Amino acid sequence: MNTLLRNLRELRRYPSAILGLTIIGLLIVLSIYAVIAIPYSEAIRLWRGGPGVWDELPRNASPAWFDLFTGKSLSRTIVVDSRTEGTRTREPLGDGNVRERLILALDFRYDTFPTEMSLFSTATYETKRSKLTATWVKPDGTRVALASGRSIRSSDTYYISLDNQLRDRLPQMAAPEVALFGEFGASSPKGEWKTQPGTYELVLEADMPEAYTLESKLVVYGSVYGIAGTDNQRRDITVALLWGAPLALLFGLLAALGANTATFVLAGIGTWFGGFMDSAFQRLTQLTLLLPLLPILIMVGQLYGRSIWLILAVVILLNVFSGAYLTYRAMFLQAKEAPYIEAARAYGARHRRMIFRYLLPRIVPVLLPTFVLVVPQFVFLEASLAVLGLGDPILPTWGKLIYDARAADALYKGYYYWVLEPAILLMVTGFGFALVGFALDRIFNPRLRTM
Amino acid sequence: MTEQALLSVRDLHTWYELRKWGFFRTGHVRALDGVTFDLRRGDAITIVGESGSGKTTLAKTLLGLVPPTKGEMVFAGERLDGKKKGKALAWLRANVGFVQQDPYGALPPFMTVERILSEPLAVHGVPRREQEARARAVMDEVRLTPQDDFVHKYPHMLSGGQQQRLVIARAIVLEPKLVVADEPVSMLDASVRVEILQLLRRIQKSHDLGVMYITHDLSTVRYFSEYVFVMYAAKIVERAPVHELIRHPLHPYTQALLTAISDPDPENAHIQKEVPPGEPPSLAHPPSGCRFHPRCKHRIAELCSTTEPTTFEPAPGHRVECWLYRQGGEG
Repeated sequence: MNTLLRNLRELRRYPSAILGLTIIGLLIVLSIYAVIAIPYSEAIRLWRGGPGVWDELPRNASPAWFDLFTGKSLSRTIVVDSRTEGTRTREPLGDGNVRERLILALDFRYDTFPTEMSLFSTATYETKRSKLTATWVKPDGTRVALASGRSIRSSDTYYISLDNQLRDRLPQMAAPEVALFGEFGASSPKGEWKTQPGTYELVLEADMPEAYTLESKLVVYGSVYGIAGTDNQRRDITVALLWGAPLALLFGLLAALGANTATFVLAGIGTWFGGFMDSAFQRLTQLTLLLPLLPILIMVGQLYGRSIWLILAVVILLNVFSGAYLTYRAMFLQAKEAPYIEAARAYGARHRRMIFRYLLPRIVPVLLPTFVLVVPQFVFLEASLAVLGLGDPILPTWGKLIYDARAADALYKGYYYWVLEPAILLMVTGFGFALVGFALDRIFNPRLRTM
Repeated sequence: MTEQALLSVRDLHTWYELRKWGFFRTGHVRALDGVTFDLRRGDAITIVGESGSGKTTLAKTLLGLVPPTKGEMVFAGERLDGKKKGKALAWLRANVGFVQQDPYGALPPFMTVERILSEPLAVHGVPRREQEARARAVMDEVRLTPQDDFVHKYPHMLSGGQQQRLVIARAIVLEPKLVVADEPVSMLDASVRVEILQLLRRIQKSHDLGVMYITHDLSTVRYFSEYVFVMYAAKIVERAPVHELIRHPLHPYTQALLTAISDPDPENAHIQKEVPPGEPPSLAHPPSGCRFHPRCKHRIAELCSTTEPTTFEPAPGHRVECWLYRQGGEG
């Protein structure tokens, strides 16, 4: 055991190994953070999405740090909720009714226009008789009437950007989010819209009985969001990037551990007893080497289910008698001839003790580099399956992100971040394990050092 | 002799099968071909012979590592036939210690000294509490002291001599009746050989052990045993008490072996030693008659090449299988 530790300490002499270990360390920190910050059930709920979950996030927004490259200040999402800000006035109309007026003010100082605008309203009162009126006040005092003739309802979403009647009334018939936040200037021959920085106000008025209230939330969606951006369902990609780390590591490590340990132990047993068992295991290995892994996994995914645990189990099973079996067998055949094995037989050690106490420990150090090197293979396998649409249906993984991006034609539409972020994380993971694995290989197989 | 014999071997044969393509039997290597001897408790015998003479196969057959093809072994009153299983085999293995040639190879490199010494005890069900005490006791016997300096060391941290002492300690930790030492000093530095042999001798005396010392080097024999058996081509060709054998070697092969001993004498540089020509015979196809006859300068025409010699006893306790002594005296 201390030879193992001594060899591991030798890793420090390889700068590449230090880099690799740092990468793996960061991935582990990321995984722990992900699991603590977003508990499993919460991650599932967020990723499933649905009404109300991602309402306040822009659709297809780039990461916020795109600012650094464009040199412009890209619009952020602004949410003004009457429950926490804005001013409210109530004007008695007599006969027990009031005119409720909400003024939602927002400060807009970006170089690009918002991508969408929506107004989410809730009222404790429902009527068709009186209407909600909304007026947009620009910084220069220009007033634009929105929402003509909307009833007051207990729950109402007004998609301002999609209001075609409004659009017809706006100058140049520009999209509402452009016309409402910009001014049409003659800076070029054809003229163009420019954002108008300043404080905007949305004035909402509703007539209703005194006992009732109206609450409204204005969301002005930006063109960038967060560290990783959002997808076409307004989901924050960060969630999948974060949760992808523990899932990828878990899958890779468990598959490598399961398959490798089983191969190792079976190779030890087969070699020790020799004869029929050894031959049978060798034939099984040759058979498994011929089996096409990916088509089998696709078949299992189609016929039985796509749970990550099922796929993991099948991957481990198909890798038990893998090519590594033959490598281990060769090593065990050599180790079996060691005089200490004969000595142990001479003092009467029985088969189980011989295999687990004398034969296997001798080869364990060699197992380590192989183990580290196969981890990324399994990580990539899981991602490949997800990209093919055979990923776990509920879990947010890196592969799933790429699948979603492909399904939404992300690259064609220019949402490069959506594909690149998970792809880079996958590459970095593979890179980290490969660096450590190669260094371990050099330490444990000293002959490589001279090459 | 037979009644108190600790180990009695009669006409023991161990043949290895030769196979072609893994299953066609094409013959046998006769590694042991009719070996008979007795070993009393408290006695040490030496088996001498060159590589390929069957010495190591004899050791492995006695230890039950290789099944004998034919013949009989009786150890402490128990018949052994190589088919023993379970308790009987465990009993044999607890009672026969084994010291191998290459001390480093004989020790698992991933175990500490303490673990190595506890393993045989653990195998034979000695309680864990007792294991440490017994391990420390044998360490004291082989002078691996102070024990605290050694218990946590790994074999590669020990010197060759210390490693071999550890191997000896492991061989006697189960308090066996017999120790088989297969070339225990041939891989050690000349400086520690005598020390190891004297240690083995001392342990043999104090435990009243039977020891079978296997070597190819006659020069180490005088430090050790009472009796010497000379093996050639799977057979014992001469047996005699140590001093008798060294002073009056009878078999031409023994004479040749004795000539080959290199003593640190400057005169040797000027002497061309006479060694028998040729090589030891193939054990798959041993020569007819006396197996030494192709290399023997005293061979008797017609007789030696056709008929196997029987045992002659020209002097009391000194037996030889050679036709030269068929009249009871030197021929």
